[in-house]
Amino acid sequence: MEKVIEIENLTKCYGKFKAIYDLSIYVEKGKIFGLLGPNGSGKSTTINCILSLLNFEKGSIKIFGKEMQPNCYDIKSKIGVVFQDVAVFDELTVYENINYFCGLYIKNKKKREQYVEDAIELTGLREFKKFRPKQLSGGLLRRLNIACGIAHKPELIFLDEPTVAVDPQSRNNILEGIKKLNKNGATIVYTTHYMEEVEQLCNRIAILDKGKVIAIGTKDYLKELTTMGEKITVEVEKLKKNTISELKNIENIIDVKYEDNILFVTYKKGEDNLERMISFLKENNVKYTKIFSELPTLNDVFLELTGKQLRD
Amino acid sequence: MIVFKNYFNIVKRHLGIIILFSMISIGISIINTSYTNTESYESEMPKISIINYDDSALTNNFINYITKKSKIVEVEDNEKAIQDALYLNKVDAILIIPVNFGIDLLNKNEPNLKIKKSTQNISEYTELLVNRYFKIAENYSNIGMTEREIINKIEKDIQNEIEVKVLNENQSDIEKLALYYSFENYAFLSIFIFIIGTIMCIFNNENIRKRNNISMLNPKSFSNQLFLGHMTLTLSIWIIYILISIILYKDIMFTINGLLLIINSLCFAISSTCLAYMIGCLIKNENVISGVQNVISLGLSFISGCFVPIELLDPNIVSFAKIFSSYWFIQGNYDIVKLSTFNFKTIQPIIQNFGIILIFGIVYFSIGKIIVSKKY
Repeated sequence: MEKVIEIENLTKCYGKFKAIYDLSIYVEKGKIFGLLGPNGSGKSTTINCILSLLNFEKGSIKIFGKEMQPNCYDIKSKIGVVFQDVAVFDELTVYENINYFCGLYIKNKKKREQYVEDAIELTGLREFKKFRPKQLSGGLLRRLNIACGIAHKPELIFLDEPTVAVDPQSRNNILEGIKKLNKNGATIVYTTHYMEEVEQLCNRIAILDKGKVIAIGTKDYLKELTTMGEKITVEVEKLKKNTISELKNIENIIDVKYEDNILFVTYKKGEDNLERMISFLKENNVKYTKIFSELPTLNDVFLELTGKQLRD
Repeated sequence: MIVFKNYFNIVKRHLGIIILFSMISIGISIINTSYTNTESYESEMPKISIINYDDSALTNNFINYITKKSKIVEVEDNEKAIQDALYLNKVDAILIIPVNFGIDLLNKNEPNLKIKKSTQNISEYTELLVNRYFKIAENYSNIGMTEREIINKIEKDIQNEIEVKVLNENQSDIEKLALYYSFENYAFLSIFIFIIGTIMCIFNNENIRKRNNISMLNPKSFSNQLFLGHMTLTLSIWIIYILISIILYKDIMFTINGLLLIINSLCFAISSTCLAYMIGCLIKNENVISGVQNVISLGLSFISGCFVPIELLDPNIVSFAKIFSSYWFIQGNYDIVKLSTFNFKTIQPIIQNFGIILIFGIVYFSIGKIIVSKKY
């Protein structure tokens, strides 16, 4: 598979602080690559280095097989970026904003008009074409931000936390839009600290912490990295202490927690965990109102690898 | 030219405030020149009270003379009333003519005519009128003339008033025009810094700049298109200013003086645009623009002779003003209106002045470019 981005041993320092340390990743053509990590893990810094917006101390960055430099306009013409902070002109309407940012790439007026219409369609902003940014809600503003970044139909799109502080309806719209862009052939680099989005969208994921890649691969591969097999949650009132102690001694159980009348039991990989749990509760005469099982998430992977939550 | 086009889309949104601001500045320029009267002078009549103890023909004739030259006010003949009248400025001067004043003057007895003056400057004029009359009388008396002869002579002499004629009828208009053009210093600086500063802040917003930087648009082209936008906008305002001067002073504007004033003004408009650009490169926050605009436009107007004549300023301030284009522009305006003969020798200093103003513009622009390259 053709590699669109190849980063080798990238190191970026701010004084003595290493924002990125020895980072090596690649992104394949036509895929959605996720950069997952908590705030301050180096996701945005990595993107800024890739785009030559920041100088870096060590390493090499190749895009479309060419070393990326600030004056590589042929590479830049194929790239679209949606930054974390909304970057639009307050004085211009939705249409004028998209037209301006598209115009930085597309000189032909007719072609540009078509592209702008397509971007408006994709982001669902048709009704708001004549609105100014200050008249838009947070979600619509994010959609405008995306439209401005992708209107010129780039082959490679960077989306830096595009769904931060967005209502569920706009979030769905944005995620659907990203899927459409990918379907149309665009390669996407998606950074977020929302693991659900990464799980929903990305083919390959790199988990970052303190500027280092701590794990990289498909979501199934990453989930294999955890020893945890299953999480069972039980709603139960007044559970006796000796019942909890007994539970801890059962084979295959990693951890047991009882908080606010909810019992959390973490199992190692194995079969029939839920069935065995129900049997145990029956044997000990424990009456419960609800019981359900969950498979490990990327948050669990991150938790096991770093000892902290993704949103810490 | 997408940046250039977008520039005017943004300007369109700020057009209301730009027009309002420009109208106010142009309006102030017009009012400023309209109220500067350089055409004619009319002498003011002092308010005089006369307490006369003499009954000579010479004194009576003097009273007739002074009555024509002043407004006579009645004041009681006691010290308190005299002091009150002077203190309350009811009169500018009080003349006390002693007994036998006329005879004593003719007999060279050095009579003492008392003049009590208020603090008003015009009271000095009263003294001038009195001295003028009696000096003439004394001179004629010295050559042996009789009282009647002296009176006849004085009456003839005081009819010979000096008539002042303005040699060039346009002189006052051209001075007004110089004032109008010099006021451009304040108007241009304040309008240009406000507009360019505001637009530079919008385009230099960190997020917008990041988006421009990752695009395929060359930063040089971006910067040049932005500057072209500034120039187009400021020169449009300059044209309005020139058109108004042509409407107000069309007789002078179609002369060589008028043409030189226009060229001087164009050089200054370019230089001011560059200065505003340089300031715009330094400003990050839109809220500080009005403060900077006031400090620069008012400050340079005060030290460069726009508001206060340069002759009244401290030489150190004038020396300091020379490091700004405003000084050279304003001095250039006054030098141009003084020109009455036009040849290479007389025009050369004016052309040098244009060059100095443009060099300032190049310096401001270069500093702006350096700031941009260091910052971004």
